[in-house]
Amino acid sequence: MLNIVTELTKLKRRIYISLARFTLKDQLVEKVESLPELLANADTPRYRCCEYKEQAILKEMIKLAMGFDPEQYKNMSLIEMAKQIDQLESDKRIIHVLSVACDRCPIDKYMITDACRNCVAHSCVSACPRNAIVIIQNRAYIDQGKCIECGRCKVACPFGAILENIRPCERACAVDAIKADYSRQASIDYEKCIGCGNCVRSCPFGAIEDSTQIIQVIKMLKDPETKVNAIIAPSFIGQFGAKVSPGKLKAALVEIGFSEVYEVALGADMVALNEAHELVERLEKGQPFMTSSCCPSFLSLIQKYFPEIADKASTTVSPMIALARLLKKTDPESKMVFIGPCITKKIEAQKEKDIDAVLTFEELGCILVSMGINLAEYELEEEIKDASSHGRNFAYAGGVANVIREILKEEGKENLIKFAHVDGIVNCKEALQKLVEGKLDCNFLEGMGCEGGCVGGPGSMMNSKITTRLVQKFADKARWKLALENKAAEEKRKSLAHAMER
Amino acid sequence: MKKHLVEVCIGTSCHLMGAQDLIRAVQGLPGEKLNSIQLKTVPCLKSCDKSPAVRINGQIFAPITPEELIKKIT
Ligand code: SF4
Ligand code: SF4
Ligand code: FES
Repeated sequence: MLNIVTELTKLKRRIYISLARFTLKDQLVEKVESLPELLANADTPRYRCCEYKEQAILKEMIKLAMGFDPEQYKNMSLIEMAKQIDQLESDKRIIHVLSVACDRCPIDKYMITDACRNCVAHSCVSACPRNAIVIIQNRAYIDQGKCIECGRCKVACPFGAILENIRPCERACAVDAIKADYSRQASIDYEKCIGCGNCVRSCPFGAIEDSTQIIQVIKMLKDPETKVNAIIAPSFIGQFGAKVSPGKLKAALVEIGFSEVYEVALGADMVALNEAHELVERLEKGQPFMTSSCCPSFLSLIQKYFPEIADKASTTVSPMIALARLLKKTDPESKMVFIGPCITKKIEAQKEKDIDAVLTFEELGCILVSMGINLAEYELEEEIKDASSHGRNFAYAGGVANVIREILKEEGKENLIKFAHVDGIVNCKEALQKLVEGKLDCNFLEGMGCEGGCVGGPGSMMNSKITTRLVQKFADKARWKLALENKAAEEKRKSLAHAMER
Repeated sequence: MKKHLVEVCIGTSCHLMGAQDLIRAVQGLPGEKLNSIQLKTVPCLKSCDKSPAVRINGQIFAPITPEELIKKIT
């Protein structure tokens, strides 16, 4: 993934930084209403027809950035929302189509090409239920204002002259969860959605976005009574630039008010040990194969689209949950903020009481900027030593399978297992189909929703090829090579016992 | 020929606003053009509010897009 920062991404990040600043200075109520005008006025570059429309879109984006469903609070002003921020219902669905922004996706779904022969039958004209097709100078045209995108004309044309354009969001969704309706508004069918976030990246108009908890996290950090822990996903290495060392980021997190900072790779060590043993146990009991469970999109893909093998998925919790449960066990009052590359973790966290908030790397970056922290100039550094190289290698595709292989090798059980791994939802779907049909020669399948694994996640900021190498380098520097040697991980895993299960 | 000195800021603010894209744009120039450029990264150009920032032969431009940067140096 190249992670190109488009003008729209910049706009979104400016919203995040502004909201973070207002919250820090206790000026949210006072200033939020003026933010759309500040960011989109006659002097700023324009992405849509006029600054008023731009501002309407910004309002929706701001509501999402504040952590709320813009549809649910459609009629509430920003200032009203800011006043009631602690009372309003937080957004559970996370990924949303912003109706004002999507409104005019300029893609005409059906177009008649030069291949039109102006045939006598005019099959397209008679097929159209809305009389949207007109014949002008020996050629058929679609009146796009009338077209309801039913596709009947395309089927009807005997010359194949009618072209179907698929909207980028529809094309991006591998599970057909997005449909554009009559009014040409895209909408997400949440029953079908697996939360992969591909649609968020695909829309060139920024009309599909995820909600954030930036304000909520800053408020936690500001409250002297609350102890807030940061738990950072293994893929954090290099996200703020190849020159920013992991230790600097840790020191900065402490500076902005986190009490403790832990590597989620410690949770991954625990998960690796658990999952390796679970795998052997299940195979010995006669189960033909097991799939990994640490990527929530992959797991959701199995549960929703391959229910016949849902019981073959590992029941071990994800590294995020393992670590959060562990820390909450010793300190139930502390708050837990997961920081990662992932949108679907926001959905996973909604279902888990042990995670209090989720931030993506880009959201964290915006918080740091709002606080005036520049990591490239940062001097402090804190040692990071929670995890083994095993846990740290969970960040990229193939990492999990390889770690489980190494654990079982230590125990002399490696020969029992045939490993395979797959990344990217389309590929995952294909591999699972083969698995169901008995055509995939493996008995452990690692699946990652994002291309390249979590380093390629939608909330990441760097080219995943670069960060994969940096992650591997960081893993090589771990105190232990094997998860087995991380005695703390093994003890903690055992002390959690059932809490390691979904 | 005198080399252009292009300093791209990779401070956190500029990083968020696409410093990597600026670097990639310069690196993507064809060989002979690239040879006439000395590309450096710097930690801050004190224009954080206008990020992303670059300094070309001593003069700061912020904000700047990859397209604008390429225009200025070719
Ligand atoms: S499954 Fe992925 S691409 Fe499809 S709607 Fe859900 S988040 Fe978007
Ligand atoms: S691969 Fe990683 S970042 Fe991507 S959806 Fe799965 S857990 Fe999230
Ligand atoms: S971070 Fe780039 S100018 Fe300061």
